Amino acid sequence: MKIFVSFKLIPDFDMFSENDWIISSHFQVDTSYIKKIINPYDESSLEIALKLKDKSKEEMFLTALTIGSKKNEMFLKSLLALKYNKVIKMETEKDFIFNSNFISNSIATYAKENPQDIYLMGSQSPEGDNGKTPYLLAEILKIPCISNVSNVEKIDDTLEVTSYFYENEIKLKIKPPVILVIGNSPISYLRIPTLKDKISTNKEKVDVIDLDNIELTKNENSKSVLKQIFRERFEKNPKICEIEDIEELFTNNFKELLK
Amino acid sequence: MKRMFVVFGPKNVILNQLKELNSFFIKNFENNKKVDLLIFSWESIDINECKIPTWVENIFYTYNKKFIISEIYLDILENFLSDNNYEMLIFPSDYFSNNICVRISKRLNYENINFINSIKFIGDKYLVSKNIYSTNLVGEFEIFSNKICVSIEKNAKVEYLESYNYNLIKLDLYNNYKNNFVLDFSITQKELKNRLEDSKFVIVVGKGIGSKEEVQKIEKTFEAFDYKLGGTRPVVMNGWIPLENLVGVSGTIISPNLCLIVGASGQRALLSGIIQSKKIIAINIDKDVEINKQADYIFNLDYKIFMKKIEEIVARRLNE
Repeated sequence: MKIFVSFKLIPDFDMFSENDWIISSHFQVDTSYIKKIINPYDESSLEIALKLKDKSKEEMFLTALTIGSKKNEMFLKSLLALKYNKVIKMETEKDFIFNSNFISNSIATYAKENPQDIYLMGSQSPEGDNGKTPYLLAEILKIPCISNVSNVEKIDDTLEVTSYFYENEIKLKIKPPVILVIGNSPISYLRIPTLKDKISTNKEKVDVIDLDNIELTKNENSKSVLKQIFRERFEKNPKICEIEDIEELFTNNFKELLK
Repeated sequence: MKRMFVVFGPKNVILNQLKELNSFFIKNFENNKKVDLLIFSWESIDINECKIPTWVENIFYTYNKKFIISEIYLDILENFLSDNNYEMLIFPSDYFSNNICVRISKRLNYENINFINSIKFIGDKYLVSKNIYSTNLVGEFEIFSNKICVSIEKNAKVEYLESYNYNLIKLDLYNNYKNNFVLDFSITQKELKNRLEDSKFVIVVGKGIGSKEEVQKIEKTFEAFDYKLGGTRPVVMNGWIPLENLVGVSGTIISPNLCLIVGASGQRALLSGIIQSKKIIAINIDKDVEINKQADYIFNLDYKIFMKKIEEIVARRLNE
């Protein structure tokens, strides 16, 4: 069985201070100096794929793919150490933050030549917050797609997928191929490779595809134009309290909330 | 302009989606503008027994228990919309609806943008705003298309008045759809009582409290209160509290009378989830954290001191 995971490395916005939100005249924010992390939904996807491989008796071929600039990302090698069979980096200097068509078409270019059984993709990534890529990919590849997935188990040649819709837990027994869009999942952290695994995979290489030199199958022009970006400031005028204010606060706010 | 809201799911979900769409409608459309409503229900609903927002003109209602599968909706919706010309389709904020929203816009060549907080039609274009950069920034987009398909951002759910004048059109749209992808399915509805979003008092803990044991101590301090416990993403991801108690843009949007924030710095992703609380009290030893600009009361002290004082007051009051 072939499992494909797409993931994105994103700036850790928790590291930004108020003064770091500087918007350029081209509506861009310089995040280049901020440490990158794996998009949380994608991190769950990467670990879920490894767990499927751990539990499976049959051979699982794991592919991880990311799209980014031409900078060297050391993290990609660690996926090889974690026993991902193939790690692909699609490189481009294009600004694709709000261009989900470009991203989905790029992934589809690879997926059409290398069809997979399970595609694991995060629900959304910060920056663009577009929430589109997996769904566009489903339409391009014409395969089913399930959203807000929290876990997946392989049972014989079928999959048991758990997803959430408000207060409803939905369990679906399905036949691949399928795109599973990972939402909030209890499987949230990617494991760390051992030193032994790092050394043993040290000579393995990340596959690099230069997106700027290939013609995508269909690069649609979006009719959306980013007009402006701004940071909203909603500041209150809070009362700064001392420990002795708790008694008054309790009387006015907490008392009625006692059981 | 013909507009339609599209909702899916069992009755409890549909009613929640309607409240959320009501909040969006109030913010974006004039009250006399009518909108059609398409309901795909997983369970049989007597629409006449439901409260329906006053802005609904026509309700297209269809029911089938297999409407759980998005592939079925998509094919049916594609056929329905090919026969009914709508310029604007509006979907709720959940990922299930987002799945349908993106894919139907691709199939029918509508322009698509998701998680929007406002939309205006000006001249020959739409002006749409939405949160970007993990809700840290707002982006305004011009969309040059006469057909648009949007999903809305998560909102507090706003109650609505009953409507008396809608037209109810029952449709049988299932048409024996052939599904060879889902072999079996089951739905388990979780306890609806004591939901975070319905609670009048919510305590939100951040990673500043340090450990799961500290969460338990806070729960013990407040055991005499009628409250619900929520947490920030790092707290949930560390397994200190359950996943469904995540507060913020990727979890639950809350609007309690009182929200107590303990050990959270106040990243925008959290703020978006608590900003509609009537009163916010923040406790954080760091004076420079963002939450201190958003709260009504701030305590710049070790939260353990705050908790100890609360315990003393509660013990005294309960003995009075």
